[in-house]
Amino acid sequence: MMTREGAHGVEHAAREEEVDRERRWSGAALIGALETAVAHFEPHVAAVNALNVFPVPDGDTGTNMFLTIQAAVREARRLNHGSQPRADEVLAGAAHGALMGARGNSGVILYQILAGIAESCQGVAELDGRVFAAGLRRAADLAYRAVVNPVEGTMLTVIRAAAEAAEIAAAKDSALSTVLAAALDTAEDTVRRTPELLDILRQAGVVDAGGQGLAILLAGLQRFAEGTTLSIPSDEAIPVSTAPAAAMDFLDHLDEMHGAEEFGYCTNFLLTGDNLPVEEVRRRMTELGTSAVVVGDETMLKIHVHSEHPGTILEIALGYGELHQVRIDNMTAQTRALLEDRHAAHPTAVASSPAATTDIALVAVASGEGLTEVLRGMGATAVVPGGPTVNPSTEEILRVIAALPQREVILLPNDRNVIPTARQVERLTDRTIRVVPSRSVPQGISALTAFNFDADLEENVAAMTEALGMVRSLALTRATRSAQIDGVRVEQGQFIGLLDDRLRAGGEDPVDVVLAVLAEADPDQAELLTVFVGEPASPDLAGRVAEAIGDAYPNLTIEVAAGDQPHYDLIIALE
Amino acid sequence: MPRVAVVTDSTADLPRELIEEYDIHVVPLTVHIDGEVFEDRVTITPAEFMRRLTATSTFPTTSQPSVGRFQEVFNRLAEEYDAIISIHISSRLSGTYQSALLARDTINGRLPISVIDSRSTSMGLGFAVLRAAKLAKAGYDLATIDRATRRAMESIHAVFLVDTLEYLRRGGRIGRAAEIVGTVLQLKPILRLEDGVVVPHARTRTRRKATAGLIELVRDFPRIDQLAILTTSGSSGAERVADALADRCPRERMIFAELSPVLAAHVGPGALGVIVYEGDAPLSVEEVP
Repeated sequence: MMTREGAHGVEHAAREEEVDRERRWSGAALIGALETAVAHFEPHVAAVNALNVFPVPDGDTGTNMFLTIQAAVREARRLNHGSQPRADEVLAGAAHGALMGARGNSGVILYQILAGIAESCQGVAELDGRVFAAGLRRAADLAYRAVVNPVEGTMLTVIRAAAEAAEIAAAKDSALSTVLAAALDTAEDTVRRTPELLDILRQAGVVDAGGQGLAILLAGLQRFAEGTTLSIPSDEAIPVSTAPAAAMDFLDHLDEMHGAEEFGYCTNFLLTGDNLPVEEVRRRMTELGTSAVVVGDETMLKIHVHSEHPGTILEIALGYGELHQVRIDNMTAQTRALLEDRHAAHPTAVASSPAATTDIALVAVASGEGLTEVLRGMGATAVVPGGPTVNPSTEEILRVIAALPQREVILLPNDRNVIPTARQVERLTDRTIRVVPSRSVPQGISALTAFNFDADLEENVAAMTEALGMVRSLALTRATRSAQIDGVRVEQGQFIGLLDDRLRAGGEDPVDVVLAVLAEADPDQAELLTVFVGEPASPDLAGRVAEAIGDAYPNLTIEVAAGDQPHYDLIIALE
Repeated sequence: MPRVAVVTDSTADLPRELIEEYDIHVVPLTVHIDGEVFEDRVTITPAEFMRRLTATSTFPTTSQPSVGRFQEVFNRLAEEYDAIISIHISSRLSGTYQSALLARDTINGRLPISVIDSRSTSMGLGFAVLRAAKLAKAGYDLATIDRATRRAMESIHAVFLVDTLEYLRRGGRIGRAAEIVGTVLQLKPILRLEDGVVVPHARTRTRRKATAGLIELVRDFPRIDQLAILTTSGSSGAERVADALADRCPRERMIFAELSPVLAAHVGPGALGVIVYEGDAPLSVEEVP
């Protein structure tokens, strides 16, 4: 039977442990902290996966980090069960477990972080804030060194910033919870800033996955320091939840972000031997692939590298020692699978995918499915529905622009009457908007062909504006009333031909009207004539017109494309 | 005086007389067309390849030299030379560099071999090889030649136009220009090689505008020491480009060449390219013997 005093004693001990856990961790506490971090991380796995765009958008950063930290904890526990383990023993075990279990870029860097902390803790029975801060610093140094071409805006930036904050905090107060809180605060802040540092994240509209994962782990440790203990999910409950591809919007823009290159194979293995030449192996792996991470020491190296030729990688590594735990993932297939999942979830997601990789968005105005597709094919990032007689509102244009990631936008009104509306937009958004005053779709297309991928906004605006004058716009439609304009007399319902918005010919036969207008447009000086077939056109019209033009001007290259525009039977570009 | 052998591959498009003058060792890639296999520039000439390419409705494919082929060349050169520098087509366009690397490892230790990924091809590779070969002939050591070659690579720029993107797309060499594929309208785009990958410069629609744009792009380089103008065999346009650039680069500093069959297989008939070489970076004082 428990006495009052006895009960009080237990309570007291528990409180002491609480206080102690805020300040420093023994080996046993450390295992508890790591387990809490794993348990805290688990529900975030899918969310972190969904952020994964860099270096390869294969949607597994969360899973990789989770499996790595889980392997670390399992090994720490296995080596230190029963007795009263020391902090340095637990950390060494965790680092070893992570080394064996590390998967993917993020996993390997996570191992490096654990190894850094373990290294600075050597000889330390209890981990306090000061040692932890020094460990983070060492971890950051090692992590930067392990990655052959460090990129800012990733886990690396986050661990370095966290280490700096931890050092400053530790100089004032060595309590672990204080140092962890400072590291966590800065880590979360830095994660939010990663899109400013790494353009691919900004384009995808996400923060860095690995960085986010790191912040989540720090939050888990912090929870433990504040008194929460979470138990680890059962050993085999590995979340197989791959990324919710449907939520990965950036998958629609992969080509823009990564180019359409193949991602190759993610090749992971352990290399053991006596006296491994670490630097040499690292250099060789960099030569042979991308995203190379090589960590470890002369007796054991963990190697992660992306390559189109995993066989070559392994062959070369065999020259240095023995291989273990070889794992090769086809990232192109992984990415493709995610893409397919996403398309299954959002059948329309692909259709909205813009086509430019540049920082400048090109927004055009046009009606008709065909013209929309043509403009997109020529590089328009987005097409606002509208045109002659159906002018889009400022708000409609603004709404389209607001949905784009680019900060700089070039607007192509493609109609005389839309130009003033487009100019309004310039003043109504914080983005930089430039209007290239195209008065017709042919002018808009000509401007798009002048877009230069290597030039900046102002250079492009100048070149595109200049290109407006390099094309003549012809149009065939029907007179809505009888009239005589510029010396041309037309009856209501007759075909009329316009050249650069001016009435030039009228008549009953559309082919004659087109030929009459074309004769005024210097066709002998031109190379290419493109016919866009509109909604009102009779089925054989475009063919008859193309044939007649071909006979009259055999040197012209003639292309016919569906425009589907309303009102105009034909829109013709001559350049 | 150390003797350094200079090795490259057949995509370098170096004129025969320069290959002979500087003793450059060329390892051929392979091109497959209509079920037949040819060694690039060895068993098929650019003219013959273009004749077949325009006659066939199938798309040709290419493959890198085997590791064995490089082993053979390296071992043979080891008899005569003290070191080898082996400079190749961008590793992002071909596995040639990989083959050379693997071959180097198999004969590890026999002599020092430096394998370089030029991150370019055609005369973009050729100018780097020439830089190496001139220094090798002058008796420089491998380390100096290696450094100077890598510096030369920074001064080389490749721009080109194609009549159709279809060959680049089918051959899987389209790179970041993939984003300009898929338009309903025909394109005669201007492209560049950047860091060894094809990237788009502009979506031009006519040959004339593309040529004018290409010339404009070349004129924008502040420094031009040499130019190479490349065409697929039998296609015109080189003269017009040369004339338009004559005020920036004298004719005698222009190299005219036909694209090797392997490259022609990937860009298709009618491609036209210009390689700008900004000039040799001077060697440092310590490097001059």
